[in-house]
Amino acid sequence: MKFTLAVHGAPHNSQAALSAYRFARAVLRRGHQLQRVFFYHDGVQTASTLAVPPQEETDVGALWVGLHEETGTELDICIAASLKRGMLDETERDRYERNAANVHPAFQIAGLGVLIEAAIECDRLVTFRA
Amino acid sequence: MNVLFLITDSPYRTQRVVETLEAALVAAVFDQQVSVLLKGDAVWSALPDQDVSELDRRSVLKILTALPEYDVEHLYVCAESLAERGLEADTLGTPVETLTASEQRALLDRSERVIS
Repeated sequence: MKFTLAVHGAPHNSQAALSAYRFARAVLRRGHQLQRVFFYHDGVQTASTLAVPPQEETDVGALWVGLHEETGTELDICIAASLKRGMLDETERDRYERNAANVHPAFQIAGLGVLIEAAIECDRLVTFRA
Repeated sequence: MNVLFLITDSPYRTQRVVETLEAALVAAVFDQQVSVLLKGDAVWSALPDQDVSELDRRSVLKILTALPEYDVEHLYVCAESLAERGLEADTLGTPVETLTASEQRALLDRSERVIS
């Protein structure tokens, strides 16, 4: 079965990104396909290279980067949600003439159309809300 | 494909309602059969005469009013959520279709994708 996950909660203010990560691992362990993971609303902050969680907390972003590196699962962050929350890759940093980029290269900036297309193409869309 | 956007948040507490409606508009542009269901505190989104000038925010009502222009097919509101808040459908700021709990179950059943 082909899965798409949507993650809507902020990484360190909600359980959404961690629950979605565990679900993603379970999907793959059971031999299903994980087409992509789309981060929307505050979920886009999962892609930040600048978050420094305290030692006793899990680095949620690092978990997703590890999953991407191991399995090649596509991780997308919504461009509109990202820009207004100060999440920029190098292209957007240059376009808007800001002084830093903070999106980990494991994540791609994508339009909402990618979420809609993925929702149509997959067999199951599972949303992890804030 | 029937895509339902299920919104349960209060309109101005966070950006969630605006951003979910933006996703609904994109789905409609992608030629899907899009419905929006307002439930719980989200029904406040349809109140008439929303003055956002002192909030410095986009008017959620304005986006709701524009949904038909983008071919969003249905704007549903939970009847019970309205009643709990002392609201009536015909006094809202935009035309809505009210649904009882069992009608909402049927809507969820026939929706092929639900985004909330």
